[in-house]
Amino acid sequence: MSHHSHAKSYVAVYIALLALVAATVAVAMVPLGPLAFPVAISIAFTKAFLIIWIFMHVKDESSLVKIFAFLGIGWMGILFVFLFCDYLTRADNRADYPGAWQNYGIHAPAEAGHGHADHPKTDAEGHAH
Amino acid sequence: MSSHAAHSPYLRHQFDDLPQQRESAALGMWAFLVTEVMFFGGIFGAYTLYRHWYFPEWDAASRQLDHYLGAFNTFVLLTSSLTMAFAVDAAASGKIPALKRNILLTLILGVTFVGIKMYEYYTKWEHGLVPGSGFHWHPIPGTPEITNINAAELFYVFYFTMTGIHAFHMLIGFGLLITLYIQAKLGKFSAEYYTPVEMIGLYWHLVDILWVFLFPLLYLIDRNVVL
Amino acid sequence: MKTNYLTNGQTVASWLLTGDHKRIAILYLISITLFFFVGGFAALLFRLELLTPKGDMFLPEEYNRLFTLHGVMMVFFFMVPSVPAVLGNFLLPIMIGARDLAFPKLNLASYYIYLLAGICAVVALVQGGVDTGWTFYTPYSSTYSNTAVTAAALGVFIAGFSSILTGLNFIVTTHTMRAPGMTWFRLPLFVWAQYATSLIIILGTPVLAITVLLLGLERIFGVGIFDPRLGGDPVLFQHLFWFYSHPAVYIMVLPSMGVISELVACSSQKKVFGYEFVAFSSLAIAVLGFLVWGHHMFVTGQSMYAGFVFSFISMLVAIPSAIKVFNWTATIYKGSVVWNTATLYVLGFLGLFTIGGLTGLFLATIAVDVHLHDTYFVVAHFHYIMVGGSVMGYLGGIHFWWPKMTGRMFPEFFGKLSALLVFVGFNLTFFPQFVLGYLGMPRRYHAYPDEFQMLNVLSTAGASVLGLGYVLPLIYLLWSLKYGKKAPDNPWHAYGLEWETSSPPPTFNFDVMPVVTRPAYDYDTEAIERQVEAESIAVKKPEVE
Repeated sequence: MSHHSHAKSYVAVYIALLALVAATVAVAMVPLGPLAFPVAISIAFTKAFLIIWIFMHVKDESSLVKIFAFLGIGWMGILFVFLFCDYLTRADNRADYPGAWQNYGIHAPAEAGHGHADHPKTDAEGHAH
Repeated sequence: MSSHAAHSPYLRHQFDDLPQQRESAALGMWAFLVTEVMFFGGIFGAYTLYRHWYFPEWDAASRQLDHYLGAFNTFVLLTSSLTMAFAVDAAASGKIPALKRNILLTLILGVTFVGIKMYEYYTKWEHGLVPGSGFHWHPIPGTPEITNINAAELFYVFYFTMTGIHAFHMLIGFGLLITLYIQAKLGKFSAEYYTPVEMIGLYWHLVDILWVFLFPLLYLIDRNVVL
Repeated sequence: MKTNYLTNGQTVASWLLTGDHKRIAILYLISITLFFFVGGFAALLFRLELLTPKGDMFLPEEYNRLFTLHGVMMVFFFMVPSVPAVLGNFLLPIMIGARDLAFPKLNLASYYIYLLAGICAVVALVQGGVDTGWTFYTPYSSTYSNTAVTAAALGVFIAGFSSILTGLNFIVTTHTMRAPGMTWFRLPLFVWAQYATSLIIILGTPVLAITVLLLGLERIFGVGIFDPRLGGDPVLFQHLFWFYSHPAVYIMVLPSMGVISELVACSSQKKVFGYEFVAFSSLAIAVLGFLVWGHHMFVTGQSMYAGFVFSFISMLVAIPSAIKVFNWTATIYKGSVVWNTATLYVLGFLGLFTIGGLTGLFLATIAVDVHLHDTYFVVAHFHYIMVGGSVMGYLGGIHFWWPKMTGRMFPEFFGKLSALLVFVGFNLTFFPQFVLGYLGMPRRYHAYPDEFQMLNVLSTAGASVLGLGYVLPLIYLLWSLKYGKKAPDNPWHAYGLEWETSSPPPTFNFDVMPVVTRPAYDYDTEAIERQVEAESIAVKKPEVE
């Protein structure tokens, strides 16, 4: 079985990966607000996809292996969806609370941080939200 | 369907032919990688929750990490993935010296990564950022102030746990690479049979992919220039 | 004399270092039986305590350790491995026409990892046990309990690895090692069930692993992600724990359902009704089982909107299980029913699993669960499934395949007697617990109000009968190894590749690797009659070998 070297595609992917790392760092410096997390994660997923598809040869594997290659992430998605089914709908996610998801990414200036000082986290009652 | 005719020395008794053996190995390794993804998935889920709850504190805590060093480490690990891919490629072409060279390079780069990580842990310990009774928060001038120090400590619980488990997987990887090198040196691999190289390559790439996520999640929560 | 897998290599090393899936199955059988009786003994002790309303046999702390021991032993060291590691290991390669599993050495490693986990559990026991319940809820387990939580968590963590490796082995084997002609839809439904179970194992167990790891780290280092003092959410532990532990109950019941499919076909001498439905229902259970975990957390702090979602999907997950029960029942209908031990276990399963499943729906209804959560109703519900369902399936399978595994027949009278004792004892133990729970008796309490005593006495009496029903097979099955009648290749006139090889099978399962041309459960009455005739002729000839 003659083997065609994949070296060229590896180097191409490698360079793309390095560029994406640089992009990741650069993007973190741009004030994107609530978009920052999805953008960073999308870049990370792109890198992961390149590694899986090319470095791990999934591109050339059977459909069965392809399914297993993406099964993990998919299933992790289930964990996330249902976990946040709970956490995003809890009563303490009201918009007036500084930690609420509606205020995501907006830096609370020092005064508005009073929400934390009013609710000390150190008491033994546990989660004081 | 067991034939004695083309009985390769690499063929295990339970298999009928080498393609079946190789497909089984690949499927088995990918099934194992699924378990690894789910293993980290649990702690990624927890991370996402607390990052959402304590964003300002995690923002400030994350800024205490040296993200340029982290980026350099990412570069190191990505390069080790490249050399690992080259190693598999060399094995598939039957080029054993290149295989050995690339295994060694991968190992050296991996050790470099862990070395830098240990240095980072040391600096965190010096700055009192290791969770526990020794945790002592020093705000960095020019970054937002926080009052909820406990949430910052929680960030560092995640930092050390996630990168620690990752580093542990790298140590296992080192063992695998050393074993692979020894086997290559003993002439166990050829263009006909190099499945262990492929499989360990898959494991190594997974460890790389995990870091690809860990880096932005831990080091780059928010690097906006604060006015 | 021809060798079989038992006689081929008689040294201790040939057993302890074996790659033969059948020998590994026997090793597992011995170990899990041991753990079963440890867990059962713990239950015996606390059921004795519960004979009287006052806590007079044990201190509360001791009582808590007993039910925790029972839960941990039974869930992680008995139920999860039982059918897959014993029957699955033994039968899967034979049923698909392979020489062994895909990864024999990994299989052996899986066994030793399981033993290592067992050692950790024993260490925890020696350190005085654990009092958190098998569910290890934080912050009690992570911060406040003074018991051997770390050792127990380590045992659970390691046991998870064993389970994962077995599941991985089964998945690959089923995909790549089927004999020529063995298409997916010619596979025995037992194989479909093991496959679906293995998918659950590899997708769910790792989350348990990270959860107990985080728990252990929190205990060791004193800080962790579930710690409310740092702003952590203890309910997060429950989310991560039940993400595995709910699918785990399907890990515990699906394989037994696979056994029932095999047994019901043979008992009815008829193919399983609705084969594709039963096959796909296994996959449906595997998938849906991951989407319902919050039904364990309706009243612990989860948002009620999440509760709605989990409640609704919990209703849905009952559907594929019901489909199986309907199809098995339809299989028996107009079948040529043989009344043997296996049949008794099948019938027991059908009735008891149905009760367990229906009561699960009661609990899935949030408004009802508010009252029934953490009462004996829940305890009864899950024991109806796990014991009335899974364990009966397991015991039925052990009896059904005993001739194949050992080459010996067990005494049929005692087989039937034990099945009846288990059935009667089980119902006497657990039906009163439905009533107790409905009346409000909480679970995990060592003392209770006087008015609950009669029901508790009935329950303990039942447990004694149940225990007898479990001890008897231990005796007569062991007896049969030496004194049982030698078993023919196909004593039950069943259809399946395992019945086409000798009892016990040769080391590599078949003298000639099979090529499959017939559909699944191709019960051919004429062929069966011919085989019976051939056997009666063979009996008249003296044994040549």
